[in-house]
Amino acid sequence: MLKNFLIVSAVVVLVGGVTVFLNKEEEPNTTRNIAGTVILEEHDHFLGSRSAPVKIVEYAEVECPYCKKLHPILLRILSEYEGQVSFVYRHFPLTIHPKSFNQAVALECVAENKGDSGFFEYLNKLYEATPSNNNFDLAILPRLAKEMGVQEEKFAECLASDRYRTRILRDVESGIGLNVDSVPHLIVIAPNGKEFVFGKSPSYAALNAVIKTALNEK
Amino acid sequence: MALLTIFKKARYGLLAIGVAALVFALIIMGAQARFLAGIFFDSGISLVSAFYLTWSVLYGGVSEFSLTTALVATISLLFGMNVAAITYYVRLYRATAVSAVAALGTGGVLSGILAVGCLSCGSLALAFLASFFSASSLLIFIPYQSPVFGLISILLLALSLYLLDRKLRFAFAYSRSK
Repeated sequence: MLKNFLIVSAVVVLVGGVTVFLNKEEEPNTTRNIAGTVILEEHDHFLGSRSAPVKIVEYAEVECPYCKKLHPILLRILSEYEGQVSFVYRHFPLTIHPKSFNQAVALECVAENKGDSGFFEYLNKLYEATPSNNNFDLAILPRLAKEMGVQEEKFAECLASDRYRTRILRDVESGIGLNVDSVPHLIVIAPNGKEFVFGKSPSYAALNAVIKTALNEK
Repeated sequence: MALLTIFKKARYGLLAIGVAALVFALIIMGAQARFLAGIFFDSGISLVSAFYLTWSVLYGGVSEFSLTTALVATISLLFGMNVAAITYYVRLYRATAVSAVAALGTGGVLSGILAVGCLSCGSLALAFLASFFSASSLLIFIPYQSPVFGLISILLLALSLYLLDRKLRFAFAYSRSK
């Protein structure tokens, strides 16, 4: 019996090892130097201090249910590590959720009026309002913006214009350059530039452990 | 029920639980394969830190309960039960082990294999078969984070157990009649 169990265990571990190895083959640069890959831009939206030692860069879109589920975990981490961790949000609207592109434009239009703090307040509102999977009612975008004190006319003009298309596509391109193939995609950058990459949504426990480890990487 | 008779035997009960725990751990860690590959092969962090982070992935998977966790736990448990039941059956017919596996019927074994799941897609084998039959376009109709594949996996594993139970009842009746 023990022999059978050991054989089954060995097979399972072997399959797991091969999976991890193949993953490594496909994505050889999952952990890279900050100067080589994740370049923080002036136009990036920051929640928390730009000079915080640890930075979490998230590629996400509002209609993705995993991103919606992860968002409160990120906010919790930020409040627990105030001053030590900051959060950068980058757009990565998926083609299967076309409304997420409109939401990305709306987020930029709010940021135009209210800055980064407005951007993240509006992001919270969008996550609260959406049922996910492209089921969001786009008609409520102006109402949510108005609740935050954004002028209706300005917001409508911004939405109708095409001026943030390039800005959003730049985020997408930077994500593709970092092998982002799904959302949410997190990159935790330690003070010494080491990166910890989550290709899938992490649990609070896992993210918390990575932040603790990253803070010790000086 | 023949399966109950088997799982009452401590060694098979333990085998089922052991395999279930292994499969559960593998699925949870498999979902973060990219992260784990990164910390073990590229990050240059200490081995102690790497194991601490691996443990945190497992701990998070267990402690932060969700529908996905429940599906993975159910799939793992059913898979463990299948392995234990198949092991018992093969041991019962050890002398003719190969024919015994064949005698299990393609239904039980195939449905068990098909149902092995992963955290995000539910079943690797099902997804592969869907693409093999050019049915992958149907995947777009399944919403992101849908439990559909997970539920299909559970149904197939349950079917596999049911078929195994039938075979075992037949085997018990046959051995009693001899």
